[in-house]
Amino acid sequence: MRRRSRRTLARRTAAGIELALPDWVTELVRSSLDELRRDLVLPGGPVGRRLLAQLDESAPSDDPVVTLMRQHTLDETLDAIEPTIGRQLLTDDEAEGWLEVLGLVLTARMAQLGVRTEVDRWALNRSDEAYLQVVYALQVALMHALDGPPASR
Amino acid sequence: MALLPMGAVTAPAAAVTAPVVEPRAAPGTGAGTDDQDTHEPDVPYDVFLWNDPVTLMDMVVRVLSKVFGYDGATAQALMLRAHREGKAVVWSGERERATSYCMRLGRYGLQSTVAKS
Repeated sequence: MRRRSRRTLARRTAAGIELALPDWVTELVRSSLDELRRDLVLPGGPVGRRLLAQLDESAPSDDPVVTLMRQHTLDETLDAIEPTIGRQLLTDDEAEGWLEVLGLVLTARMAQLGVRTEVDRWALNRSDEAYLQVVYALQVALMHALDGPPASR
Repeated sequence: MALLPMGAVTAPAAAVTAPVVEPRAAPGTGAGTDDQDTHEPDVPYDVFLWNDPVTLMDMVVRVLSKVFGYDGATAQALMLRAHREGKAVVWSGERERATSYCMRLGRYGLQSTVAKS
């Protein structure tokens, strides 16, 4: 009798960070990134307002240069990661980029759903909760692959 | 630490303040003006991290450690303060660096702002 093997989504190997994602997870990441890119084009939408919210509380409005830099920075983050979706081996920098993008897509999805409080978060329907759990699982796997399990950090 | 969203924590936060505070420059230059373009070099700015109900605690702690170089205990205490109080000062210092840190936190989807101390 064989014990069922549990595959981790990401692990460190000599060659880099190895991903073992089911196809549907890869597609979920890809479609989330596409969605985020579309949403960021609309700075007045819920995602734009959340991710490009005013930084300087002291100023009457943000410096437009800062806003442009932020948009550029987010675009760069997405551009860097897009070609790596579907690959099974990442460098550490690419895996870090995945963590950035997963944080962004999570924030964007919650902004779309109007989640601002813990009450909102715990009222998510099963489908949105499942999405959240998939992103969490991937984040945790990548953190462990990059840094080692919590006990070894 | 339990793998919970930042907003799901109920444990009390340890008392902690942002440990990195750059020294104030000599007073006099830029004081008493509201013109943002003068940069007011003697006025330190705070970076506030805002609580959010979805980001994993481990993720927040990791990002604070990575961006600011904090040890795990400091980063965790700051994260818990943000959770309990709604926001926490995670760094203080020169305005441009504060803005830059905000943008780095934003790359991970974390909400942060800067404000005069």
